[in-house]
Order: sequence, then C-alpha cells, then structure tokens
Amino acid sequence: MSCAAIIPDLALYLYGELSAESEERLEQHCSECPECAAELQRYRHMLQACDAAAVPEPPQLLAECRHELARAVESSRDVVPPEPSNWFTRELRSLLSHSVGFRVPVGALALVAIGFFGARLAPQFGSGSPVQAGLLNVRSVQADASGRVQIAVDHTRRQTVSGSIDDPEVRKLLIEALHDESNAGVRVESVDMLKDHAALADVRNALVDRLQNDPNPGVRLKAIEGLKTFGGDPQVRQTLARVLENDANPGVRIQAIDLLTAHRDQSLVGVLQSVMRKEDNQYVRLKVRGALEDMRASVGTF
Amino acid sequence: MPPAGATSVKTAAPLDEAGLIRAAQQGDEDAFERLVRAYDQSVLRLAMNLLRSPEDARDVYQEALLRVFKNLHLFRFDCSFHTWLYRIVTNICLDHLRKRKVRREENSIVETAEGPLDRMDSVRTHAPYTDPERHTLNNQLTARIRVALDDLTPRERMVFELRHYQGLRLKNIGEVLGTSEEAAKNCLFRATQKMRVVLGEFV
Ligand SMILES: [Zn+2]
Repeated sequence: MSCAAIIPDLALYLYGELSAESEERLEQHCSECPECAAELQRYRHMLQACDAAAVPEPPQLLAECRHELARAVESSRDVVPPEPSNWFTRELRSLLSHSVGFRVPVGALALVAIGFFGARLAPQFGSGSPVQAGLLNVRSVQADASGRVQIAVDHTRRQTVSGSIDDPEVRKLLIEALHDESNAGVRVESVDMLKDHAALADVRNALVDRLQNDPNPGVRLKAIEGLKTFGGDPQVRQTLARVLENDANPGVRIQAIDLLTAHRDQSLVGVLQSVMRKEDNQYVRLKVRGALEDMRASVGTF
Repeated sequence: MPPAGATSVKTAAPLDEAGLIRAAQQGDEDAFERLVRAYDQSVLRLAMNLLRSPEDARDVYQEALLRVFKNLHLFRFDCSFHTWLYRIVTNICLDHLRKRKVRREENSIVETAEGPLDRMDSVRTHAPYTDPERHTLNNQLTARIRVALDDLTPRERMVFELRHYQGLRLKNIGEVLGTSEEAAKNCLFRATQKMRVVLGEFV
C-alpha cells in the first residue's frame, strides 16, 4: 500500500467515514510508516484546532431570533386575530419577565399586545396617536413584583433632511451617522460622502477619528482615502503612525505607509523602526525599509 | 430542549415529531413553535459559524424558519423533517457565501504606489483585526484556520460545516445538499486537503 494512496483517506478516517476495509488498511499502513502516522497526527491536530476556531453565537441572539420569528409568524397571517395568539402572548410574557436591552421594533400587532398587558399604558397609545409600524422602538421592558410594567419607548418620527454637504447641519448629521455602531453600511455610505471634504475641519476630525476607531476596515480605508491630501498635517501624521503600528488590516496599513512616506520627516524614524520589528506584510516592510534607507537611518535591530 | 449543538441533531427531541408536524400543518402555532425549538439553535449556530456575523445569522434564521412556516404544508414526510429543514437553511447560507465570495474577489485588489497588490495575499498571513493577541501561537492557528476555511468553495465550506461542526454523517449531508454520499465525501476530502495545505507547518 503506497503512502500516496493513504493520504487522501486520513481526514475521512478521523471522521469515521471510511469503509471497514479502508480503515483497516490505513491503520496497518500507519503502524509501519512513521511519515503517514505523523501526517495523521497533523490532520488530527488540525481538526481539533478547528473546534477552537468556531464562532459561537452571541448569548442573546437565539432569544432575539425567536422573538422576531414569533412576530413575523404573527404578521404573516391573512386575518388579524382579535387577540394575540398564545405563542405571541407567551413571547411577550417571557420578554416582560426579565429586563431586556435589545431593540424591538413594534408593529401594529405588537401594540395590540402591549395594550393587552399594559392596560395602564393605553392612553399613551390611544387610537389618535400618530404611531406607525416600524417607527417605534421599545428600548427596554421591565416588570416588578406587583406586575406593574415599565416600557421604555423611543418614539421617533422619520424625518428627511436634504441639502448640500456645505450645509453644517447636513454635515453634522452625516458625522453623527459615522458613529452608528450598529450599522456599518450607514457608516460606509457616510464616510464615502464626507471623504471629499476633508478640507473642512469638522469632517477632517471625524475622518481621523474613524480611521483610528472604526471596527470596520471598509470605513477605515475610506477615511484614509479622504485624508490623502493631508499627509503633511501633524495630527493626521500622528494618527497614521498609530494606524501603521496597530491596525490589524494590512490593506489599511498599506495605505498608511504610502501616505506617511510621501512626506518625510525625522520624527518618523522611531515609528518606522518599531514597525519594522513586527510588521509581517511584505509590501509594508519594503516601503518602511526604503524610507529608512532614504533617511539614512538604521533599519533597526530585529 | 435537546442539548445544544452537533448532538441535538442526532438525538432529536423525544417528542412525537410526526404528530407535531401534522398539527403545525393544520395551523397549530404552538406545535410549530415546539417543532422549531427542537432545531433552531443548531440552525443559528450553523449560520453564525459559516457567516461569522450576527446580523447575517439572524437574517438566515428568519428567512429559513419563515420559509419553513409558509411551506410546511408541502412537507410530505419523504425525508426526515431535519433533512427538509436543512435543505432550506443550507440553500440560504450557500447564497450568502456565494455573494460574499464574489464581493471578496472584486475587492481583493488594492492599488498601491507599486502597482496592484492582491489584498488576500497579505491577509492570508494575518489574524482577524478583532484578535487582540494575534501573536500568540494558538491565536495564529485559529486565525489561519479561519483563513483556510474562507479559501474553500461555498460547497466545500458547507460540507465541512455540516460534517465537522454539525456532526452530520456524509450520507445525510448528501441528502441535504441533493447529491450522493460519494460526492459529499469527495467534497470533504478536498476541503480538508486544502486546509492542510494552507496550514502547512502550523500543525
Ligand atoms: Zn506512508
């Protein structure tokens, strides 16, 4: 039995997916061939390590999903029932039984249910109230021992603001949207609109902030793009140096090194030497080395 | 509730499943809820581990189980409910993975002063940015495994997910994905072999 014929079976063997004969053949071979036995060990190690690489669902997610599903099932019915169904009622009760922090957009049917449980709240949701499905967010729901219910509601009416980006109000809204942690899509759109206006100080500050702090590399890449013409600005340079040292995304670090080395100054030497010690991206290393050599600085000890 | 994760599939809840399905088909929402709760954690876990995004996992959960709700009357008991449910779930997940793959390929070239550079080449040697200790060995191994998983085709990734993380047998995976056991086996072999190549000396 050749090694080449054994290798394809190693993983299948570990999963118990080989026929009895193939299994026996493999065990026989590995008992005589140290190379294949070692390779089997490596496969075993790899597959065990896969368990550690699993991404678990956040603790509240299942409860949230079940809740949303209950609501979707509820509203998918053709005929609106006079009272909430048992399932929905129970869902709401379980929601009321402990404080929850997640947002629950409330539709018309949910209002029925809240009225059902929190009769005291009814005046707030009177028939004349301009509440529309989807524009109301329940922030938290709590019940105390006596059965009193507290529901914190964000009552927002959708507003549309339009205007030129030169309008400080419009910019303020766009900059605010840059900080919507829950919505990377909105942040990408906003930074895209702002990036051509870095000459304005408020925009520039916002871009610097996002470049350093946004969890989404797409947002960080757009922010750095917006700062392209400010490679000489001290505050921007300081940020770029920090990004070069700390950003885990090589795409972002590549942009940072290009922009930094476009303007050379001696204060850069320390940063570059430190980057050289830990950077493992070939392109960035190449640029750093080039810049250090141009500045006749030592490439550093590493 | 059955125990979470891979084992819940095989030891499916000790409930009269066929009875629940019939009741749910007649419009009994309580029955539907009990049916869903026997499997929905596995569904969410599958989507989360495949897509690594709570938002996407939530979308998959919602879309899949609502589709189950709306199409349950079409279920004819010609396979297990679990298989039927997983056909729906894996189809939705595969769509997500395919879209993502296209997006990643479109975005993978970064223009630099030295000409275009394949961003994926450099990402390959990196831990994800969320990882604060990317220099420790275990984290590097974990990060590499994730990169290796990302390199698989959506189908290979799915077969690996179902076998490794969900604990389904290849025969069952074939049924879920509408293919033969032999094809599923080949897919699993390709997946593990590719991963082995990417991991190189790391294991
Ligand atoms: Zn051998």
